[in-house]
Amino acid sequence: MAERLSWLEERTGVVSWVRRFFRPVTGRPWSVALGSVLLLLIANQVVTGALLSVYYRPVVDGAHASVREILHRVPMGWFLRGLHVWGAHLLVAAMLLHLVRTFVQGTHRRPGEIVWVTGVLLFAVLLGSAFTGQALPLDAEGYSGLLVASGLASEWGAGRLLLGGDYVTDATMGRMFAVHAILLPLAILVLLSGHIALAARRQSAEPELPTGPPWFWVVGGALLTMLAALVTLAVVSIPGVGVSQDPAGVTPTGVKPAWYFLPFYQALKFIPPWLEPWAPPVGLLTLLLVPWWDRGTKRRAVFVLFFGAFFALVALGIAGAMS
Amino acid sequence: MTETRREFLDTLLFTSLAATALALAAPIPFYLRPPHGRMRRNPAPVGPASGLGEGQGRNVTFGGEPAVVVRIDGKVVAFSRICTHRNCAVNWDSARARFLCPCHGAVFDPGGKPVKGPATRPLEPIPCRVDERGEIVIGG
Repeated sequence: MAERLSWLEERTGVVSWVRRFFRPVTGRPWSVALGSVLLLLIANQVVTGALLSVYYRPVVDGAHASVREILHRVPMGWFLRGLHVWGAHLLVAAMLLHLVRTFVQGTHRRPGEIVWVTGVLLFAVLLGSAFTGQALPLDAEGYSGLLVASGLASEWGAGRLLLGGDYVTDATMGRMFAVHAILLPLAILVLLSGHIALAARRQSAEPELPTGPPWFWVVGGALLTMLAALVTLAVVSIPGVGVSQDPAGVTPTGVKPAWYFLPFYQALKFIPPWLEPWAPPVGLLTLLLVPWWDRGTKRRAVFVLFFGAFFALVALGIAGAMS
Repeated sequence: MTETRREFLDTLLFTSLAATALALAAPIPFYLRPPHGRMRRNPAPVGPASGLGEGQGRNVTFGGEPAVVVRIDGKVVAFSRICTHRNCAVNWDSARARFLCPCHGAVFDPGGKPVKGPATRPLEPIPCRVDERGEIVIGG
């Protein structure tokens, strides 16, 4: 056996490559676990999304029907869509945790600025993926979301660019599908490669990181737990599809976006209209620049502002959910 | 001497590659821009006027735009359903004789004027008539 392994090792290096995974984990085990869970969730979205695209039809008269077909007619369609929908929820939640974790531990500070910037851009792109994904079934939430987003985009002269015309038509659905299934995943691939490579480079530059249990235990355990949670959610609580809405349909009362867009939804009810289009870019820019605010002795002030903003958004979200 | 020539050629090649890449990317914005200006919309029949009782409304589309025809004081009028706050599609509530936006709570009176909530501009009216056969025609 040992002889065969050394034969393989000599030709491929695969044995020592595998052995690396059994070395003690460097850094904090929880952080490593959370990072690996995020990667798993993104992989889950890619695989289940690719499979869903086999049956999905990006046209106004057919998008909703094709999602219903996946749910009710396609064998195991309900399961794969469940993994995709729950995966999206968990991905946003895990991403928020990852963001707060990074901020609290201070790894965004010098020399971690660019890792932070790529991370925030990934956050924005993943929220874009979530938004375009919700538009695809063209249910009431998706349809209203598209209309609201086009209203905001038109403040920047991009409303028609978003919808591919003046209203929601087949052109809109084609755009949403291309952006959701191809363009944004490509952007995620590029950003994520940079993010992980830079984070690894940064970590290896740190001389004395505490070591913990074997890497494989930490990551394997985290992935197993996550997969169990994901599968349980997809089976126990099968995400349905909202009522269909074509342009002549009635908008149902209480139509709301997904939980992570609720703060913005609630804010739209009372902030002055001129402010609305500025809120997303200004918020994004503020978050991008956190490593530059948070320098030297200003840590405490930035901490208060960061969590002040965080809890304000949570409060807005809760108000939006209860309204 | 050869070193500088080599550096010059490197720079030249790099600049050419970068310029070509940029030039190749230039058509993308043109490609993504929706082809026509505002869609040309022909007047469209949207059902008989007799089916629309006083105070009742009917959702229709006008060249893809969500619209509604309503009979108020005997007269048939049409509005775009695009809310002037953030573009959600408003609903005609016949019981309250108001247009209600389910998204952010805007309310409009039967004339399309905003009366409550975050909207400040009136709903966009669409020209509308009843033709000789008793059919409602919007956009004409």
